[in-house]
Amino acid sequence: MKYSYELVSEYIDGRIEKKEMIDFLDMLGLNPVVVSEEEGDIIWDLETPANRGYLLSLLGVAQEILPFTDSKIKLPEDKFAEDIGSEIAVKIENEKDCFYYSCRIMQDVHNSASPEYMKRALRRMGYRTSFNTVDISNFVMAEIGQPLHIFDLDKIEGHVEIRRGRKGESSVLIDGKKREFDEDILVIADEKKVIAVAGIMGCQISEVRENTRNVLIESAVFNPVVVRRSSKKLGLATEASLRFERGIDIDTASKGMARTAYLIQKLCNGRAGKLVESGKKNERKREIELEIGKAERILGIDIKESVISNILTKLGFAANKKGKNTYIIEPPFYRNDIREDVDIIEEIARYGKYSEIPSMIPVATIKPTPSINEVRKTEKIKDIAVKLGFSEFINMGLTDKKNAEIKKSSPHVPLENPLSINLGFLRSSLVPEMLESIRYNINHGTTKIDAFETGKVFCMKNGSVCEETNMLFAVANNGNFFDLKGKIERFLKECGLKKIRFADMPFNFSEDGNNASIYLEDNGRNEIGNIFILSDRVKTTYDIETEEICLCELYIEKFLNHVNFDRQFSDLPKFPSSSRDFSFVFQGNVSWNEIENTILSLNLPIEKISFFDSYEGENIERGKISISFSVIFRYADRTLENAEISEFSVKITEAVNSRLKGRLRGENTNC
Amino acid sequence: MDLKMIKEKIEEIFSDARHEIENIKDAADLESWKVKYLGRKGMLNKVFSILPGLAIEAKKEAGLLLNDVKRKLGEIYEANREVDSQGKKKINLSFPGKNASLGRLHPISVTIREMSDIFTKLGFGVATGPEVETSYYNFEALNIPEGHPARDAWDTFYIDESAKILLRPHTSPVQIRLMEKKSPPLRIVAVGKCFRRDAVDATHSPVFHQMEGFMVDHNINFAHLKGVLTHFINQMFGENVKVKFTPSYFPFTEPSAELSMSCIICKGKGCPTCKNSGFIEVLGCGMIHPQVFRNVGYDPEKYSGFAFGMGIERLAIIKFGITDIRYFYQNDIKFINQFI
Repeated sequence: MKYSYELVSEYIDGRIEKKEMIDFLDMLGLNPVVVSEEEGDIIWDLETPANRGYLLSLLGVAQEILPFTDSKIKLPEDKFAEDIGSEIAVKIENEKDCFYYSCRIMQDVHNSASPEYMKRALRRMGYRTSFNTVDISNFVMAEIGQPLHIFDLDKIEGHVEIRRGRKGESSVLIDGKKREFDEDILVIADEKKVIAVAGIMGCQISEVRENTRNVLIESAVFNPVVVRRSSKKLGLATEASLRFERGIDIDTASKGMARTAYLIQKLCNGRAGKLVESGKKNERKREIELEIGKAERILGIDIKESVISNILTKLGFAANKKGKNTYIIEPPFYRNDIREDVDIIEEIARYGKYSEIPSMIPVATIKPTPSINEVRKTEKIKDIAVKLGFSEFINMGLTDKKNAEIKKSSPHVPLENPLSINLGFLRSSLVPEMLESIRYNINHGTTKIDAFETGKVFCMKNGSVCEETNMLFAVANNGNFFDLKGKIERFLKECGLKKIRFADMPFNFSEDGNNASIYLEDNGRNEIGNIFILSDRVKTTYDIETEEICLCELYIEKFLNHVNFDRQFSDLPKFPSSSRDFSFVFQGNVSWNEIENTILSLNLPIEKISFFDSYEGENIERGKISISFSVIFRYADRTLENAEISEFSVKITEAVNSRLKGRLRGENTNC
Repeated sequence: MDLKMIKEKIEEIFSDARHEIENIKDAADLESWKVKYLGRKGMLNKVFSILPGLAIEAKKEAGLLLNDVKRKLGEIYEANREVDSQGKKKINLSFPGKNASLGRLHPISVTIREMSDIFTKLGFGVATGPEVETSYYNFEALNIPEGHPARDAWDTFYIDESAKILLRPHTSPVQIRLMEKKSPPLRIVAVGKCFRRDAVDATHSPVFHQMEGFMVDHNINFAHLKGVLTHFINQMFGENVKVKFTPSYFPFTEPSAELSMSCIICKGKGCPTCKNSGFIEVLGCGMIHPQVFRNVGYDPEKYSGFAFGMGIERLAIIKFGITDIRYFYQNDIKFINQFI
């Protein structure tokens, strides 16, 4: 609904300026937005919080701004005469669904167009106008906040009951659409049929028409959760359901009933029957104890008692002092947002204005809360990636079916209510979105890319969703597999992970076979990642056929507790090193690990073995490969003798020769 | 000398020459290196001089090897000479330097780091939590009961609604998880990805990041909430920025507030970004609701605390003047390169 200055002012005994009224609502955080001005009146929208249903009424808004003023509330006229004895029987199937139900027969109603003031009011609040009975029910709902329903009495057969729907029942509602009911939906029915969906909308069959003479007014309190469930199930939210979901009380229902009967009697000459009430008779009184000291402790200010009592009185709260520093407070029934003392403290703060509370840095225990370890490590890991020249990408993680299914090893996770099928699944790998980002960049003129992403991936495991953090490195058109592998080796080393092993392993992103699984030796047989050259098939799928792309996806959680950033100083060498280069010819399938391990097993004073070249082709026999590397020797406590180095070189040559059938290049050109 | 020894000798010369040239600093050194290895009386020629004493086959083989090494060293010399002759010449310093690139964090991470730094200096720790959540942590424990219309404020993706498994629409569940595990005093910010059923446009994204923060101790009050958050905004956006707190509603805080700051684009004068109000809404906050404390087993009569939550993208958009939220998830290098 919309609100207007003139309409709200109707319920205030006293004068408030237009600008003041808007400012007051603004100070209360209700964000009034003026939508139009007509004939000297201004009309605005409000953001009403879900716990303050009473603000969906003119009276509620009038009451809300009273504490800022010297004015009083002016209640609408509702005195009418009960002229006839007619009544109807009502049955509530379960009082947990319907706390209170009241209805009243009105006879000899003469419908016509509503008076001009009512039509104007309804238009300003954004409602359609019709003829009196319909207009009156909308008007009273907007005025008091009580949703009402008015039935054509002559269409009701027998008694009225409030019950759950039954499978197979259906009816056309006032909006002209047929709806099916079931156990989840609360309905109003007579002995033969459903006549309304409780708290949401009436059925066409019992709808009041302009020629209707006898009506039944309903004013009830339905369980908010039940109305909400019906509304969700039917996909139908109405002005009535909006209010019932936020909670209605018996007091408001009675006022709504009285005001409706009054207006029907006044405007349509209707004769009022007896009030029929079922369910609870009264709301339970709520008494809340408020200790002034607590309010001061929570707000951090001194509070004057006169200020408190002014606010509470203007809001219609009864406040009685108990002892020196405590009030017993009884809020009006419609204030179902007030449940404990902090709720009253919030009212005091709202009207005292938040701006008047000072800003203070807390004086607290100095003990800081440490960041959790995983966060610290992950952030540092990201820094290493950046230092290696990778830029960070962040993708949504919501993706399409094709991307979600790319990892065939584990079932993917679909959403029940996706926005679109393109964002209908949780990602199972960081690779697909990375490839899409790479494609995006290439299409937008950036072809060389070094990127990484850290994020969650998901799969189903034993019926529940399993969530893990992965990190993906990608190199596109910016070096080959060994450029990436070198960076990954450096990355893992800087993470303090020592014994890393790469082992060939088939993998679905690299059917061409260029994939290695990465293992951490201390971590048993746990695979901590994959490094691979993207296969042509996958490239074609992502429309990046011509690009050179290598990727490495690491399963961070598999090694995070091995990550170690503690560093220990080791003394710098005091004696010089000596280095020798070797070139050997091996069988083409030789592994570098074997070469390295063979040399290291000799227990020579070796500081480092560095690979620097491999060569196949001219001068090398088919199926063989020449591998060149340098070995750096160093003793910590003395200088190496030349003779020693020659001796070590011979040992290395012999070991490589005997164990790996490697021949020193040039040793025998026929080999 | 036999062939084997000669070959070893040649390899040794080659190896020494390669290592030595790495330490050469100027043209004079380079020339001495050339004389030492390639000169008329250089090391290689010395070996050549003993070849005639060998058998024919051995002579041929050693000769081939020697010529190969001589050629390689010659190439190394030329390569070094080019570099060096440039050093001597007066070069045109006005030419631009070579393009250098830098690895960078994504602006979302940049913003998170800056925010976390401000809070960690105040003794807050940084934490995270799961993205797939249960309805209990996401709603019930935060005083948003099932069937309450307040739930409509979090338009949530469900993985299995009947089993109450969802994608978290805010980072507030982390607050519950942490309070369940730890006892006060506590000062924590929790950061992470959140999901809401918002269709993508310039200002909405179904995926965004949030920072949640809370402080619990004896005697924490609303003035402290204002003090800490005002400090945060002034650190993040500048000391001149004005901060305004207005009443708001969140089921898990009472009293609740919304923090707005003076628009940094128009300096509070009014512009389209702040809808002419001079202020921009930045974050929601409030005093932690006693029901939330009861749900995690804290005594609300003994402890009090404040909590706040804010969107990272929103802060980054304000701070950097970014015009469209979609840029964050396109990962265009040209976008990422603008931030550090």
